[in-house]
Amino acid sequence: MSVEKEGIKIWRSYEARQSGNLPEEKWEEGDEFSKGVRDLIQRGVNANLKRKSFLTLMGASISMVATSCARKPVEKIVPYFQRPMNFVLGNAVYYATARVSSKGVSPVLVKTQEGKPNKIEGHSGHPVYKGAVSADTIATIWDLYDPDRAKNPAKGNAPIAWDAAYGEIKSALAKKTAILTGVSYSPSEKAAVANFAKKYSAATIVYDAAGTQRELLNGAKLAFGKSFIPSFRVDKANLILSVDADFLGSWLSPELFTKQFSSRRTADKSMNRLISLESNLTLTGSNADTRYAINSGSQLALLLSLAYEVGKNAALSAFAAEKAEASVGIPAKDIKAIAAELTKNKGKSLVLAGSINARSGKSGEVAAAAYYLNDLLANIGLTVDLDAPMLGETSVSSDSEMAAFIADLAAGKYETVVIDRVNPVFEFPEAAGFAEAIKKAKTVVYIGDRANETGSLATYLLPASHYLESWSDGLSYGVYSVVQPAIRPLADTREAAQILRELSGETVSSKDAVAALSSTYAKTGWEKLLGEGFAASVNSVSAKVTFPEFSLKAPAKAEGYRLSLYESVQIGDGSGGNISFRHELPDPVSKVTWDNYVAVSPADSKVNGWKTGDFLKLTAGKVSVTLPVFVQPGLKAGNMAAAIGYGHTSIGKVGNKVGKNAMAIAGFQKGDVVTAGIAVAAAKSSKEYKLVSTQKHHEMAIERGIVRQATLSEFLKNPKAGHQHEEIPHFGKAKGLYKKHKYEPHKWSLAIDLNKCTGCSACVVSCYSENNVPAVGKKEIDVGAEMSWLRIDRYYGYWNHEDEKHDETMENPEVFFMPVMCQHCDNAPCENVCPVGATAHSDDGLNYMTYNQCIGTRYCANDCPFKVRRFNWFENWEGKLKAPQQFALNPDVTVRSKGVIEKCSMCQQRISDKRQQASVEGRELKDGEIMTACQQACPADAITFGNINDEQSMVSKQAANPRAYKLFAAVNVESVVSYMVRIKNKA
Amino acid sequence: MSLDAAKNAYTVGKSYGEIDNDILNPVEGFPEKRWWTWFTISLTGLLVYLGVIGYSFVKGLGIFGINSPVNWGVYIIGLVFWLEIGHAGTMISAILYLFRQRWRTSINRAAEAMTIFAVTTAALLPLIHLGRPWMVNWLFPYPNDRGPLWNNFNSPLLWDVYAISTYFTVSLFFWYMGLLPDFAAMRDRAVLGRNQLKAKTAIGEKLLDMRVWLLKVAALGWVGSGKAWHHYEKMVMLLAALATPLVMSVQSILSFDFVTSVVPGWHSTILPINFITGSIYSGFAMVLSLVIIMRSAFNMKAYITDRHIDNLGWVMLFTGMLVFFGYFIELFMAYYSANDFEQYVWTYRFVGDYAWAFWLTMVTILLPPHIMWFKKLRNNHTLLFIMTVIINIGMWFERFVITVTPVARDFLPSSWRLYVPTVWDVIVVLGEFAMFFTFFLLFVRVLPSIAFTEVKMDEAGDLAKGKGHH
Repeated sequence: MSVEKEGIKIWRSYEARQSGNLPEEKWEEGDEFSKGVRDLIQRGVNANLKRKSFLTLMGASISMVATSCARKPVEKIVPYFQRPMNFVLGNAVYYATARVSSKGVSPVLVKTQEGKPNKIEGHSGHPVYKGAVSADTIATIWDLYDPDRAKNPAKGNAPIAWDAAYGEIKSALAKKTAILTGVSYSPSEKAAVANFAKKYSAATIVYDAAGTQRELLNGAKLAFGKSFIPSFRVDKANLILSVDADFLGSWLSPELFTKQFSSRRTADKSMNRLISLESNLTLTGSNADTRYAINSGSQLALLLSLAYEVGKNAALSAFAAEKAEASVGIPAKDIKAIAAELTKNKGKSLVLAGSINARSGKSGEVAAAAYYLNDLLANIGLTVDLDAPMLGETSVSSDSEMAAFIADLAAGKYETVVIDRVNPVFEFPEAAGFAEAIKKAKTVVYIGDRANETGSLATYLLPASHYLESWSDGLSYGVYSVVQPAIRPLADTREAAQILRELSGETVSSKDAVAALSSTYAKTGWEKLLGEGFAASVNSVSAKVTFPEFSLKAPAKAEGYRLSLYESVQIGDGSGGNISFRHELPDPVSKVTWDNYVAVSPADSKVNGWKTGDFLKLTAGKVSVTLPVFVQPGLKAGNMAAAIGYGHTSIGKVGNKVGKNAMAIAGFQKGDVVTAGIAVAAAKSSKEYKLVSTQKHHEMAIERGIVRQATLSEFLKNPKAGHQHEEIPHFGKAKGLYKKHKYEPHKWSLAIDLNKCTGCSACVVSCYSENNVPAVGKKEIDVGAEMSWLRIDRYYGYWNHEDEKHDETMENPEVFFMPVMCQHCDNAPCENVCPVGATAHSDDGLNYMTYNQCIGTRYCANDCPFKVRRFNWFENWEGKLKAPQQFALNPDVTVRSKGVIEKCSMCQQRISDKRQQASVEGRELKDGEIMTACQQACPADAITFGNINDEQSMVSKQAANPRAYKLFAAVNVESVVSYMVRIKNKA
Repeated sequence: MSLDAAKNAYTVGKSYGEIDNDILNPVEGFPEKRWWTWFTISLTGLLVYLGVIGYSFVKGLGIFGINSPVNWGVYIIGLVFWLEIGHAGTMISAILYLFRQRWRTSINRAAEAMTIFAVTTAALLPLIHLGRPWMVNWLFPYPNDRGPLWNNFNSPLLWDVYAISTYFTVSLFFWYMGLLPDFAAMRDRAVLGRNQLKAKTAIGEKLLDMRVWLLKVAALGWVGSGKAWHHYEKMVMLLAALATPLVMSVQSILSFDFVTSVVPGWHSTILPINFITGSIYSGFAMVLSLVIIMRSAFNMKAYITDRHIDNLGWVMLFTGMLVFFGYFIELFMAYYSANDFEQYVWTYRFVGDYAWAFWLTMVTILLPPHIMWFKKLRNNHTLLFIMTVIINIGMWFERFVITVTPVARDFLPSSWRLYVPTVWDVIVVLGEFAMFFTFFLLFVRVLPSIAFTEVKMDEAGDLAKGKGHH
């Protein structure tokens, strides 16, 4: 807190900084002059001022006056005298670790250079994740260097030493205590919480902010009698039915599901089929082969109806398709058809449900219905795997416990409350009254990374380390992962579990605690575990589904406006909301940045005259929230959706006041948070608001042959299906005036399989991180100044005019995603128009950009048919970074100044790196050795990079695929990036 | 008979001394309040303009409405607009000179001045619209220490550099050559009249001396000998012959800024021709506006006769129809090409976001000159003045439509975005006009705005012919 007052810390060398020693010199206010000069002054003062010493003093004064402004500290770069083994300055070192979050245990590789992590990558060696990584996880590198993190323990606003804080807190813990924590995948953290609770006989409240995990845990409790989250084997299912479970976007571990899903998106007979029934248009629905828009809050009725149609259980006869259709919003015949299809695929189907945007009644019932349906379809043990569950048996507070806790808290029964990294003040609906209740506790100890909404109310704030600074572990999908630090804590922070251990009086170090526990789960030994980052383990559950009692007895009528809340891909539950890159990442579907909004259906927009940018005041009970309107195709009339995680008031400079907290309006019934089918009254406000999106148009994409699609059956009959809008200039016989350049031995190329791409945007964030692409903020995106080198274009369309006419209210459009980066055209239109030759072709077929030579005429950007060239309209770096943000920059890539053009380089630095490595080792480059950042991040394996000269390379094979096409071949720019037609598996 | 009438229509019929007095009156006298008012306004505008340029240097070009995909805005629109205006000056002074059109005499000086100032205004624009304007020297091919880095001669932007600088140089020399005998006449008047002038202060005296000295230098020792006239005539002829093709080439090269791209709507072979016809059209409109103002402000009706105005008007009508024809052909080719993208450009112009600008252009540039068909209307100079102003506003928006609409919606719908000018853009546009008018106002007070030597020569010719008749 008082870092400014301490002065600037200086280390003599890199090693000294790394060793974590105290600064060798401190500049304080008095230290204006160096020691020699200070002595001189002192001597003058002490001495009897004779003429000579007076002159000495005067001379000194003059020289000091002349030099006193030079306060720049001396910095020395000293090479290693004794170099640590295998360490070469400038070379990246990778550490295997894992991020444990509400999305499970995400295995990652951390790239560190000169001792500082600067990039998060997927861990390709992991047996389950196989390198899958999500946009949110890649963005955690910026969490580490967030300048708004708490830097030291604090009591109120004043800093306090750890020991002093512990002393005071321990005496408070002697009184009646409760500990509030999230659902945890970490055995060591769970143990720490359990020990703590035992030591202080504290009540343990486990809750889940976003709600999806709690849904599934409670659902399993209802269906299996045990609370755990099984492993949903998306890769094993031939038919996947998702009922408002956005498993490709934000549901459970989306990056893993994307990996598994895309592994079956092959354009052949083994291709899987996805049916999505959803109340909001999500990534899952966008990628579905068949999608229906349903009414928010009707998910349980829908699942029970399907269960009835599949199993004809008499107890569910009230949910027969004919009786449920009005409630759900799907014709009975279609419900029956889906049920029939499910039945046909018994044992090879998978029903996914139970999420925040389906949480309309008693917690867990939707998930329980899905488990029951899966059981009817004989999927348990096959596609619903209990041997390696995502989360083994875990206790989560029941609704009654939850309600009782808040009531007790409000009654002042708890004197001390410890809150472990959750943010209940922000995350609970206003109706729960938590924010008032917590004020009744005498002592609130907050363990977290910042003084957020809860932290700022706390008596003590104990700063928790980022996972890249921590020792911890995680157990998920039958794999035990160890979390190891890639850097020492940047500030005076400790691991959350370590804080709990220390409060419980344990003296063991966090590393030893994790190491000791790891032997229980991993048999490989500590060293190997650290090296690989994971080890096979066991967390199987054995259980059987029994038909649960459902509180819903008959389908409810869909009336009025129903709001559902959802987790967005970019912000999630909002805990990472202080990172500009997360806000800058456009919502994959709406492409809106830097805001949440209420999505309304085109039908409602038409009837009520609501248009994008209007303000809508939504009122449910006593609570109201005013949100900007976004007219979102894909919604049924009467349904609305809003993202949670926005509207922070105390998360940091970037995240505060971005959007509104939609969770405030959620219902709270007997301890259950209701986030779907919330009955709201909507009133248009006279004010208008600017919603900013990176894409304003979506029309004509099909007519222009930009995105192409065919059904599987069409494709199997005619491999050239989907190319009907292809235009080849001069029938492919175009001859240029100039001789064609030969690219030897390499010609780099990319192939993007639109059939695999789900639009999840991990590549976009990875590109931001790898290439030091700046986030520019809402105002600049509004004027078209965004800098992303790689963007994902989203288009809506219809198979044919018949379909389009049929769906006038755009309830069910086809949604296309298309990642677009520089196409590195052989006939690049940008190259010949640059007057200073700042952009040209390299010998290996890349269109390169020489930033230093660019004077900023922007003709190249005008002339680019793909509009991938980005101009630095303002200075984006110089003076814009706040320490320690600069460490997140990739040292291998320069930052660009105001007034120059920049664009995708196909990760030139990665190509050079591997090429040099191969050259040093005296060998040829191997296919697949070089990976671009987007390719590496892609959990769907949609991007292939390689040498197109080599006929055996993956990328050549992809480019030769009949589905491959070039964007705007008609312009004859001869781009090297191939796209591949998307195939839809229509029944 | 009619030939005689035509000839006599331009005859001033005054003595040489009177002609000198008339034309040099604004130059030798002290400006009145009206001039000061306009000059103050223009100069303020110019200073604000320079301030905005400075601000954009410091802050970045993001302050303007340009964006991705519309990377070029008012700067490039201004470049095309002003350069085109400039061409009318060359057209009048060089081409009409070669064709021995007598009626150019009274207006060529102003037209040439307009050329110089328009080109200056225009040439500044591409330089300050650079992302890093302080690197502007990199546009010029000169031996440098930047390693093997050299200009890209494929780039039309580089051709622009040569085209504009060549054109500017030739125009400047041509203008100066024409001014030489006038400078000499002014010098003689100044030397002879120096004794009659008495300043109140010593500094004033020095300034008056300096004026004489400056005119001496400017006249380059012109003595008016037969040999000097001989060389002079040859030189003017040469420069006229040199400047004439430049009108075509500069305008074509300027259009190449658009044509060499792949953007539908820019990538069109008709554009060079359209740029040339458009330039003559808008340039003549500007000349006409300026001449109408000058002639009333300085009472030069004897020199710039109704017949002059009438001629200019007919040129407007003719070029106006050429411009219309160009548009028609462009539209027809888009239809005939069967190219979806080309056709979309026109559909978008007709009914898209900028349809207002397009139709404004159509109405303001295609209709006004047709008032020439009606005698009553064409003899009304106020109406003609309004017509020229409307045409030039229309021509500005024509540049706007050409520059903005194709890129605002080109190939990828995902990247479509509008260009909405900000307050800074507006200041730049107004600043361009302020700059032009500051120069022009200075010109009318410092240099003879009519080439009076040439007028006198024509008078002499008339006199000789008249004698021959009688």
